[in-house]
Amino acid sequence: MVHWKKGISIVIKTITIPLLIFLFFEILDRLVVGMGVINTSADIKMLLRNLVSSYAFALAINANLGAGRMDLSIGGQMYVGVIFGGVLAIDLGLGGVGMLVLAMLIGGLCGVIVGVLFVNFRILPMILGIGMTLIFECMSFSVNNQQGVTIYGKEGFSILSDSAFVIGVIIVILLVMTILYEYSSFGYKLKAIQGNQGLAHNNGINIYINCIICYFVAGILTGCAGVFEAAFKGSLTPVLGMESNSVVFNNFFPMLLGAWIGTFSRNQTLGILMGSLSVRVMIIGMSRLRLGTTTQNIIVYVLLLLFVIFNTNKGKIAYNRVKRKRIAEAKRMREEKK
Amino acid sequence: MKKIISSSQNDRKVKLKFNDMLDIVKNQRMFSLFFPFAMLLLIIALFSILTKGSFCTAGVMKSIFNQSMIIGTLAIGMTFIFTTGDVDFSAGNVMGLAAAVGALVYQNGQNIVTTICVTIVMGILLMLCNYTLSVVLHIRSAMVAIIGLTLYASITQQIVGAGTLRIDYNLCRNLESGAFRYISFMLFFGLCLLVYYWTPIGRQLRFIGGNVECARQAGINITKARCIGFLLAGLGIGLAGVYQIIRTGSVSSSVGNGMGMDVMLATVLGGMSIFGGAKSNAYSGFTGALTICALNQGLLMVGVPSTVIQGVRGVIFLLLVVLNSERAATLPSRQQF
Repeated sequence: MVHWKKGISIVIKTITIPLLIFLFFEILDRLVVGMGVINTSADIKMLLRNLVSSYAFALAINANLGAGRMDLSIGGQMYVGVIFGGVLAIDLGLGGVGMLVLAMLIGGLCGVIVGVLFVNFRILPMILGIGMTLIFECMSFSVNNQQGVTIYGKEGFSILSDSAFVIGVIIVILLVMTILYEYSSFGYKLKAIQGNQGLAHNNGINIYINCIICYFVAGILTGCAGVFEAAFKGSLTPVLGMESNSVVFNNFFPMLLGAWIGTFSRNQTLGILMGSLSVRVMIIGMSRLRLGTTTQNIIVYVLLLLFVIFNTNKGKIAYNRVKRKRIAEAKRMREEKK
Repeated sequence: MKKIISSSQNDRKVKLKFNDMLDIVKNQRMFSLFFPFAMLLLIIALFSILTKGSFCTAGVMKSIFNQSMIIGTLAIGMTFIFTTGDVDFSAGNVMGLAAAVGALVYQNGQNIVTTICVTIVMGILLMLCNYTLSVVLHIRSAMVAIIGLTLYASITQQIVGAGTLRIDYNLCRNLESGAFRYISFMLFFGLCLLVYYWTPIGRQLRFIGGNVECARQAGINITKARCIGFLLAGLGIGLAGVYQIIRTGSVSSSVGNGMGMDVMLATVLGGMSIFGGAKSNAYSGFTGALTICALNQGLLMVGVPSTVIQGVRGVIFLLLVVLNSERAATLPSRQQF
């Protein structure tokens, strides 16, 4: 009985944030423009495509960040994976699924390269990320006459916009990543490394292999995210001048919010899915209000800022609350003595 | 690498591997001081040979100096933040927003002096905002940078809109070709060197970067020292914003995008760790900016396609960082969030 109650409590805590956000915008949108957040099947399709991309990218950021490694090169890995994978898939006639598999493999390969370099050079991850971003952007810019990849109107690629397929991909990511992080020896070792790398190393955990696997997983996920990003836009144009980093920064909010929700659900992968869903619903809700992209960005990042301020100082807030209670109690006791 | 070199020490033959010899050289204080300059000179010498002397002319050198001025000014200011171990890569977008506000003021009053003052003050105010978030509200500086980067870029886009904010072209041209830029840059550089090497604040900032807890227990007012660091960074950012305005005579919505990363690139190429500490130098950022611009110019003059230049820059950057950094015993990591 207690077990069931705990389970229900976890489920409620996990879905509360996205549900509250949905309800808030549903009411606001109906009051202001007379229509809800999601009205047609096209809205659901758009939500799902954005969700899978944002979810996979947020998971990719989280793969290394938890262990204190901020990999800025995952944006570059995404461009290399999608453009190389996309061009190959079009040339070989492999269609959308082929492109997805190839982009994930090439993204994973890029991740392994960064991981191996990191393990051997042992320079700061952020610095290595900057250097590798420059190289990956250059690589993605150099193929296909700097045109990137266009899948709009190409035969066999419409599956990437199919809602059932997208839901399937989300479920597969959720299951695979949950097994990897929660029920495998890799996840167990990763948690030990996140706790204390030195102690984990001294206890016989191969921190180097674990690190390379983290980079590999991040690479695979960025490849997957990039394919759905390209499917949503119809094409993916390469960028230079470290502009690929903006993809990394744009997905920080879902990742941070998701990691926070994950503390309630006791499953980071599920938490990040809920975080991504919350942010995507928020953006669709704001679009309904006919707010421009820049205004939306300002609102989202002010909210992120407030969330981070709360999350960083919540210990202090709780401490002050206890302190106030103690002072009130002391005052009350003094009054009673008098 | 497997070459073994023998040396005599206390009448005993000690065999040192090449890697050990390299580590001994790298750990010398003078190495970190002179390595960036040696690399800059090597790049100049290499491209002078490859271009048969045309790289080493006064015109090309002046062009490299001018190109590196904006990134250099940003990097010199940001050194005061990097020295304490704070990682802030929002400098480019802070500069963009300061420049946008400055240009907006010009459009309303047509007064360039007010524009310059407003741009500098905006740079300082925005960095004080970053200071409040990271020092007073205890948010990790990298997180502040990520939020600031997108937030400031969005506000800049909101201010500028789809077009550009224009400033009188002749006025900008006169300011660019005149002595204003060089004098203001030299004054700022001199002020930074003075504060960094000859005042207690510089020493305190390096101490904080080395070990913040140790610095606190030694009685250093960390909040005050970091506040001064952010103020000087804001001054540099504001000044760079002014250079940006007078260089192009307009401000677009994408101004400053990606420059924060360039600043970090320049700082690291200049021989400084972005995680600060005792080995930090006030001039690292400018040396790095000169190195990047010399590399770009040289590669262009040699005939390397512009799209490949970025890749070559990345490879050289990583090589220089590997050469200039100590190899950690285990994997380097840091809890940034």
